[in-house]
Amino acid sequence: MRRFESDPARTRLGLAYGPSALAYLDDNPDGIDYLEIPFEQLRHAPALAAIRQRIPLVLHCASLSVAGNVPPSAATFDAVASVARQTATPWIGEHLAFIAAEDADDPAAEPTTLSYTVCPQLSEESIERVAANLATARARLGDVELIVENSPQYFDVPGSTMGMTDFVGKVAQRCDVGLLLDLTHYLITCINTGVEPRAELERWPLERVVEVHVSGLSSQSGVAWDDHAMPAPPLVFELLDTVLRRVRPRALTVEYNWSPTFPQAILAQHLSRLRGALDAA
Amino acid sequence: MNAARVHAVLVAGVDDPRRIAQWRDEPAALERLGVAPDALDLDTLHKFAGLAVKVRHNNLRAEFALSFRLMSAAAIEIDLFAAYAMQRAASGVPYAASVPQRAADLVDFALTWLDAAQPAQALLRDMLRHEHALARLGPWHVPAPAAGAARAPRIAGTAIVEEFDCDPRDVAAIAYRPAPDFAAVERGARRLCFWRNDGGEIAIVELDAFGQYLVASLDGERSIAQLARRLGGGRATIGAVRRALAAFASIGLVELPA
Ligand SMILES: [Fe+2]
Repeated sequence: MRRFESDPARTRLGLAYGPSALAYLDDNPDGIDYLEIPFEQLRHAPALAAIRQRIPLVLHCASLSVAGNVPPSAATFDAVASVARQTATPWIGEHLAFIAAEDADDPAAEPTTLSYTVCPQLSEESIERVAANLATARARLGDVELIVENSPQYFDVPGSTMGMTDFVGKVAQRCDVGLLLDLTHYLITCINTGVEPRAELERWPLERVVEVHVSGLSSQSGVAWDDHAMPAPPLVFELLDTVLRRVRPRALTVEYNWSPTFPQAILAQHLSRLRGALDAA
Repeated sequence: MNAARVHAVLVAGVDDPRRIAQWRDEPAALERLGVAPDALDLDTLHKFAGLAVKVRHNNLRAEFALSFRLMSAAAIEIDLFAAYAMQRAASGVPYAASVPQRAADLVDFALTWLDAAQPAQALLRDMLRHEHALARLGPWHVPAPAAGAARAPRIAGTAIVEEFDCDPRDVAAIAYRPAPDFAAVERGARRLCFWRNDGGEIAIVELDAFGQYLVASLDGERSIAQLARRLGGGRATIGAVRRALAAFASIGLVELPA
């Protein structure tokens, strides 16, 4: 069984799990260092973990709702802990978001859980909530490190008192937590909230970044949307170069995992460009 | 505004976009839930619900690769799935668990929602039906129980006949070019018969209007005379039906009674 070995001097390069990543791996067994795999997929199909015989795994998660008011069930915590051990993941990357909330009409009723994470209210109240949730999660999950990923922001969340950069910075400081910087989410947020992405990156707490994500985006109906079926735009590569001039994250994951027909030629070209950027850093 | 209330409202709207429409019509209802109506962009929240539903349909992409490519090129994925989220919420029926049924439901909706007068959307309507036919005859094919001897002309295997406004194969040929010029695809009625023979091979046979109607009329029960009457009757029609059936039989598409 393979295990992700962290190297402070070198950023590992990986792909988000999906049919196109597996096809790439079949053709290029040494082309990437790891696969990033969602907890939710492993929970429903534990046999997928056998791929650890071929390549190390890093665990991604969308179930802990760390910025929400409805905690995951004890069974979910137990399952995350178990999958973390099974995969020997170096950390768990969780969205700085929520996936469940109390019933809008009757807070005493069963909470509602979505299939997709939502950007939280960006406020001191949310920061305190994240701190409490992370403390609980750390106690439940044992030794494995949790890091949090910035959400893409599509609209102003009512009651917000700060922008995403300040929110992430304050969460990192208040909770002493590592960050998963999704550069595409970051760019989407900048576009949708009218922030200049190059200048804003100077304010980001890059020294906290453990892992970086890159993927695509699409502009539709006047809004920039996360789109893992599209290749990353040039500005994402430029932002990555800026990040790499300042810090050395432990991992860089390419998330082209929504479409099984993502063109292999583009996948290979982007991986080689990213490998070049990492080597040059 | 209390974060728990705000989050509850966002989740309620994404879970059931009819709530968003209700808040648009009656802002006081949103206010009563603890969220100032001016503070929430309801249109973008509805589109976000569309994004969440789009992602739930990623498991159709293997069979509908070109349809998703066209949706993306036309930049209408979010609007289409936002409208679909609303329709599904109104129907009260959960998204189907099986991929073929989920595809059938989405195709049904898209064919009513897409505007055939807009060229990009007309292409997408054609591509959805093209890929759906190939999926139903290919990976999602459900074998029919073995039939006895033919008592009347019938399809040898399974056939799906679709009428298009272009040849979807022309679209497929350019879809992955860097900047495909979908407007350049030749337009005009094309009638394609998607046919899976008993050996599991799939072929696409181009038909004229007469052939389309004839193939669609083959139910294994109607005799040649009955088929001719459906097609307008008369001696000349019987002759034309016989000749067409013989041509279809010669390529194996149709099985004639002994
Ligand atoms: Fe990400």
